[in-house]
Parts: sequence; structure tokens; C-alpha cells
Amino acid sequence: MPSIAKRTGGPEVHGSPETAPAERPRDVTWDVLSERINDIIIVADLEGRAVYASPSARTLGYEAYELIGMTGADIVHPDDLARFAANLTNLFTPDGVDRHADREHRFRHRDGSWVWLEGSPSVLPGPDGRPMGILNVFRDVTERRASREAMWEQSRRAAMAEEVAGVGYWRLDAQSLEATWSPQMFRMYGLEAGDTIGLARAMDMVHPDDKVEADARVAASLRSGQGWDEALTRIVQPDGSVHFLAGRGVCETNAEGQVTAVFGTAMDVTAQILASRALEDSERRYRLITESATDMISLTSCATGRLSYLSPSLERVTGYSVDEMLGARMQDQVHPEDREAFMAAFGALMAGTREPGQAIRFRARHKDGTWLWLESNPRLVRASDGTPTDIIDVTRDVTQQEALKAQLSDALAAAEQAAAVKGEFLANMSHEIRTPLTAVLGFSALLLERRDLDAVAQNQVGRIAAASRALLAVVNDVLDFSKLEAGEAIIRRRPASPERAAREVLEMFAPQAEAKGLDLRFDAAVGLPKSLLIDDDRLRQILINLVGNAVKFTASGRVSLSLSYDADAGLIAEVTDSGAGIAPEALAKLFQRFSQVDASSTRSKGGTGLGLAICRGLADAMGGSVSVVSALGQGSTFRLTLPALRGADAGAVGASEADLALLCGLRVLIADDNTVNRELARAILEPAGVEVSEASDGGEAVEMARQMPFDAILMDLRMPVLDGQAAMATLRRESGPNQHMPVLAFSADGAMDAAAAAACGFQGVVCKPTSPEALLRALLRVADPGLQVEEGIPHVAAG
Amino acid sequence: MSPLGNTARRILVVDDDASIRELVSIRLTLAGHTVLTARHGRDALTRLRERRYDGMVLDLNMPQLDGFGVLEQIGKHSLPPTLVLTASHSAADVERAIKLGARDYLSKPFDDRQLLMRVARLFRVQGSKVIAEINELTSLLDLPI
Repeated sequence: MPSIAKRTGGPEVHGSPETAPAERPRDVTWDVLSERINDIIIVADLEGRAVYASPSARTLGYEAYELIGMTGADIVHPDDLARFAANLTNLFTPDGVDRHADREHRFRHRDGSWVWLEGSPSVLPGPDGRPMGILNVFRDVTERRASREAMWEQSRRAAMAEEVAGVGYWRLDAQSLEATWSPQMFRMYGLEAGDTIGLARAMDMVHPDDKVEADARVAASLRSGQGWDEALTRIVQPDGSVHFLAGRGVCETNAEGQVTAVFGTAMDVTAQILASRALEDSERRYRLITESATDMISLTSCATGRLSYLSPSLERVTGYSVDEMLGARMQDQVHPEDREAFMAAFGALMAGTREPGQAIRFRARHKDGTWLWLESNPRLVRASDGTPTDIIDVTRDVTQQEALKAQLSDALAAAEQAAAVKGEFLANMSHEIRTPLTAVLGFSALLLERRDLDAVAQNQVGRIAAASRALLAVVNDVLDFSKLEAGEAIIRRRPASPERAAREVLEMFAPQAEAKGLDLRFDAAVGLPKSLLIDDDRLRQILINLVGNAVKFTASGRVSLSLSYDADAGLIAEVTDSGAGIAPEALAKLFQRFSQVDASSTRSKGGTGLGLAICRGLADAMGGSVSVVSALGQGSTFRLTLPALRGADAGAVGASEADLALLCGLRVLIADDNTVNRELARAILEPAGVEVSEASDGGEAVEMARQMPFDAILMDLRMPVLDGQAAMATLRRESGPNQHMPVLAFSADGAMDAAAAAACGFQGVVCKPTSPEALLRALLRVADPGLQVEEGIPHVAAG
Repeated sequence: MSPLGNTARRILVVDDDASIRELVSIRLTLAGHTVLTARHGRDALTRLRERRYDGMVLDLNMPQLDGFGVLEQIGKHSLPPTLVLTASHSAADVERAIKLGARDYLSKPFDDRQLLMRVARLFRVQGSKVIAEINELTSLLDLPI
């Protein structure tokens, strides 16, 4: 450098005592100025030797005059000297100063340390316009360097962070407006990896709502050199997904304070943002709940039992302000009648014996003196060691709910009463009908027995009989339904012909079918027994309903009834029609009470709407079932299945059909403390048509026998309360309806024979385990009219 | 002897409903019994005081004097074996009639077979009574049977 400086010649030295006096005032001003500014001003001759130094030379630890005569070589760091010289030499080239050249050099401080000074050289022209010297203004950039170092450090860290934490960084060149992106940036924007990206393109990807702000932020930094600390910007990836990026920006400036680049980091914080939004939402919601919900939230200390927190909704619900109630005990507000249960519930909660989440309902006082119905949902709050510290309680005002409940139960009671009255009325009505019906049935039966009637008359009487049985079925419907509902259906099995029942039913509907031109058919499968142990009245009742419906709802075509028998399933009756069929949604409601497929059909077709419900109930009561297969336009098939023994099967136990007929309708009381024994006896007797009543001990047997007459009593010998013999003795002693009724010993003692039983006063004995044959025979013996003893014998015996 | 093995009895049939009265009369007559009828409770009281009957079929629901009234006024001890007819399914009615001395009950509507069996059993009860009395006597006398 010195060579060039030499070539251009040395300048006049201003700072020296030899300075012209005329210029002094200016010099004073200059000195004052140069005193005040921090920049070091050096004037060098064309050799590069300092001829003037401003007082701020103290930055380097020197007094100004000490620098006079020094050249760069004396004070500039050896590594920076070549650059320093080049910068000065360039002053004299045609291009002049290279604005972008690095003019930062280290200068040695007097203490030996290095100070970064940025030079800003210019040529000092002489009076003749030729270069006289060099004016250089040095600025201490040590701090700026340090901060730039820090920035570089930051960027190095950012790069590291990018690797480990997904932080991306970018550098936007102020001149080209091209951004250099780190790989992570491309990933965050959902773009193919690259190196640079235009600012415009990057801005295009910013969410429309954030674009103005982002644009302004970058523009402002480019203009002012101020970065930004933390900015949140949404971007839209090419696939349309929105991501939140958080980042900082720092500006790089050159010596002139011009922004050369903006450096920034960015990080995808979408997950955190969403999480914190959710948290904010839930907090807001929670606040909303506690502060404004009608539910009251309270905190009660376990130690004192006093309220330590109450939500403001307290006042809305109870009329008390939060201040009034804080420190109070909730139980004091509870209605005296509910207090015990309330305390017990909280006690159980504390003891851990209460299911959490179980609500407590109680009445509590409103400030206006009325009672509120509240529902509490208390939970324990525990310390970290598990000991309960507080009870948190969400209490809801259920006063209206309770009022509605009360209204509802009143309404229900009224409805039930109305239903009871209606039921009673129906029962009375059916009773009124029973008497005339008995006459119709009885007289038509008498007429049918007459041999002198011609065939036409016979047929007509038969129609009367069939119609009256149909009427009876309707009457029975009403009573049966209430009995079925109460589980009181009485089934009486006896040997009967299913075919006869079926033919009677068809006979009944023959006129109707004929009038509509329907083909009414009957089909009995091969192997259908002549006699089955069934309740033929109930069978008839079900068939009347099924056939009646089929005839009623079939406009044309045919209705057929077929019977078959299967040893496992029992009696199977199928009623098939060629009617309109039933829609699937109607099928589901078919067996419900008061339901008819079409409500309008109630008016046009008549009927109680109970028929099918009763059919199903009756079939259930007999251990069977009723089902239906149907589709619109395909007709319907109703199928009844009833478990039933063959009539001949009953004969297998040694009793003839005629004998069994004698048992039919008998009323028998079975007294035994063993349920299984009673059920076994019932299972044997009921199929024979016996009406069975049960007593589970001697006392109950005596009580029942005092009320109702039985045709026979089967008495277990060993029973609690009163044993068999004592129970019989009581019956014989009292003049009740069963004083003289046969009592059979029901004995587990194999040694008990007829003679031993008679000696004890029994009229017979049935040994356990019970065989059907022994039981039926024993009953037949006491039911047999041949057992009758003629009047007069007592006198003989007494005599 | 009827098909059910009954011997002929003199039976009073009491019902305000002429059809039932006639129907029961015919059935019992066909079974070989001698039947007299009463149209209501007061009529029945008159008949029962006139002469002795082996049995009575008594409707419970009648105007003026109902079946319960007849049972009450005649009294348990002078009452012939009585079958009450009821159109009610209420057990309470039956229990009340039984308490007043009726032997048995039959619910309407009934068929001829049920009617005849119940009537036959009215008289069979006497037979059981005989057995019971024999049992009682033998036990009192400590006689082996």
C-alpha cells in the first residue's frame, strides 16, 4: 500500500501545531466535532503515513499525536494488512471505492488486544484538485462483529436444532430477494427439497389471513434492519393442509447500515398450537361451566366439613350469595327428612364405600324459604399421598324434574285407577254375558242330543252352538287378557280330539267364508292322534282367533287349517291364507296388545285387538308358541305349536281315557315343603285336567283348606309348622269346607302302606318318589263314584 | 242310576234366570234326579221350609234376596248340600259362600259334564264323611280295622 500512497504524494498535515492560524476557528470546530464522535478520523499522506488523528484515537489506547507518523503496517493485524492496503490502493483506480469490499480490519490496541475497526476511506483532494492525502474514518465494529459472530453461532445452532428438533432456517438476500432454505424448510412447506426459493413464491404459500402481516414484516426488516422476535405464521402446504410456523428474523447489515439479508428460523408448531388451543378451549369451557352454568360447583374441606369454594351459580339456584355460604356446612341447608340419607351418602363417600358418580337427591332450603330438589355428584379430591382433602361436588337443581316426576306419578295413578275401573267394568260386562251364554250353550247342546231333529235343523243348531262358543271366546278374551297379564291363566288339560276342535272352529267360520267366496280347507296330517292331552278350550280359542283373522282379512282365495303331530314339538296347527300379507314393520307389532295391522281395520273389521296377544299368551302358558311368516302380497301363515302328550300315552300309566275323564276338573291341594315334589305332582296331574293348588307347609295347607273346597288333599307327613297328621287332624276337627274330604298321605316312608295310612286316618297313600301311575290311581280311587257309601251306613256303624 | 253312578236325589234349583233354571233342571232330571225350582231367594226360603231336600244348586247373584242371603237365613246346620253358581271369577265370593256353608261352587259358563260331576260330588262328600266318622270311631274305640 505504501507504494501507491507514495506515488500520490503526501497531504498537508492538519493536526500539527504548524497549521495555518486562519484556519484555526474551523479547526476548533473540527476538534470539537471530532472530540464528540466515536469514530476515529485519520488523515494520511499519500505514503499512508498518518498526519492527523482525532482524539477518539483513545479507542486504541493512544493519544492522537502518538499515531502521527504511523502507517498501517505499524498497527494493522498482519492477516488484515493486505486487505487494508488494497482498499486504499483501490481509491485511486477509476472505479473508486468498492462499496461491498470487506473493510473491517483488526487494529492493535496499545494493550496488545485487537480491535475491529471498519474503515471508510476517501481521497482528500488538494487545492489544485490533485489528491493530497487520504481521509479515513474508522468505526469500532468489535461489538457488531461479536453480534454477527453470535448470529453465526445462532445459525450454527439453528442448523443443529434443525437436525434435532425440526427447526428450519432461511436467509433472504436483500438484493436478489432469493431465499436460501435449509432442507427442513422445504419439508415444512411440503415442497421438494432444493436450495433457494423466491420470496414471492414463499409468500404465496402463506395463509391468506396472515399474508399481509408477513409481507409487512419482511418489508419492514429489509427497510429498517430490525428483525423480529417471535412471529406465528400459517402456511398452506400444496396438499391444502394448514401448518403453524413460529420463527424469528435477524437482519444482516453492511457498514452503511444497509440490510444485506434477513436471516430467520422457523419451526412447525402446529401440534403445540392445536394442543394449546384445545387447552384454552377446555379452560374457557371449564370457566364457563363454573362461572355461568346452572350447576353449582362446590368444594368442601374434609377436615372441617365447611364449604371453601362455591361457583356463582349458587345465587341463581339457592338465592344465597357465595359470601353468605362460604364457610357454611351444606348439611345445614338440607331438609331434615333428607339429612340422614345425605350424611350417610357423604360418610360412605369418605369411607370409600360409595360408588363414585352416584348421585344423591335431597331437598335444600332456598333463601326465600321454599325447598329445592338438588342432585349432588360428589367426588373426593385426594392429596398426593392419597388422603382425601376435599369433596368436589357438582350440584344440579332438579326441582322441576321432581315436580314433573310427581305430576307424572299422579297422572300414572289416575291412569291406573281409570284402567282399573275400566277393567272392572269389562269384567262385570263379561259376567253379565256369561249367564245368557250359559243358556245358549246349554240349550243348543240339549238340542243337538235330540234324535228327532232333521238334518237341516241339526245343522242350524250346530251353527248356534258354534257361534255362541265364538262369542264366549270374545268374552273370555277380555278376562283372559287381564289374567294372562297377571300370570293367572288356568290351563286344564284333558284327553281331547284336536281334529274335532279344528273342525268346530272351521264350521263356525263357514258362513262368513261362503259369503266372501273363500275356499275354507282342513287338512289333518297322517299320524295325527285321535286324542291328545290338551286344553281343547284354549286350543279352540287360539284357532278361532287365527282362522277368524284369516277369514276377516282375506278378500278372495282360500284359508286353510292344517294339523300335524310331532313327538318332540307336539301339536302343530298352521293357518294359511291368500290375503294381502303383512308388511315387515307391522309384523313386529302384530302380537302386541290392542294392535291391529291397520288402525282403520278396527272400525271396518271389528275385534278387540287383543286376539293375537292372547293367542301368544295362551300358547306360552301351555309351553307352546305362535309365530307368523308373511310378506306383502304373499299371504300369511300363522303357526301354533303346543307340546301335548298323546291321549294314549296317558293310558300307559294304567288309566283308561274314561278314567282320566273322571279326574278332569277335580280340585286337588298338594301340601309339601319340597318344591320339587309339588312340581312333579303338578306335572302329573295337570295334563289330566286336575286343577292343582299348592301349600308349602301344614299351616298353609290348613289355611287354604279353610277357604276353598278341594276334592282331595295330598298331604306330606313331615312338614314345618304343622306336620301332615296334625294338619289333617285340624281339618277333621274344624267344620271347614274340607272337613270330610279325602286326605292322602304323601309319604317318603316306604313302610307306609294303605293299612298304615288308614290307621293314621288317611284315606289313601301315595309313596315318594312319585310315580304317575300310583298318583293317578290313588286320586281315581277317591274320585271314583263307586267309593260312595250309601246314606244310612253311619247309623248302622253307630248302632 | 245315572251314567255317573248317582242315585236319585231331590234337588232344589234356585236361579232368577229362567233359562239357567230350566237348563239345570233338564240336565239333572235327565241324570235321574227329582228337581224342584225357585225363582229367587225368598221363593227358595219358602221351598226349603216346606220340605227336606237332598241338595241345592244356588245362584249367588239374584235380586231381592241373593244366594248369600239364602245361605245366611237357612244356616249351616239346616242347609242341604249346596252347590253355588257364580258368574264372577272372584275367589272372595266363593270363599264367602263356603264360609256360609256351601259345599262346592261352579263358575258360569259351565257345560253339562261339569254340572253333573259337581252335583255328584255333593253327595259323595257324605261318603267321605262316613269314612272319616268310621276312622274317628275306630280310633276312639282303639279297634283295629
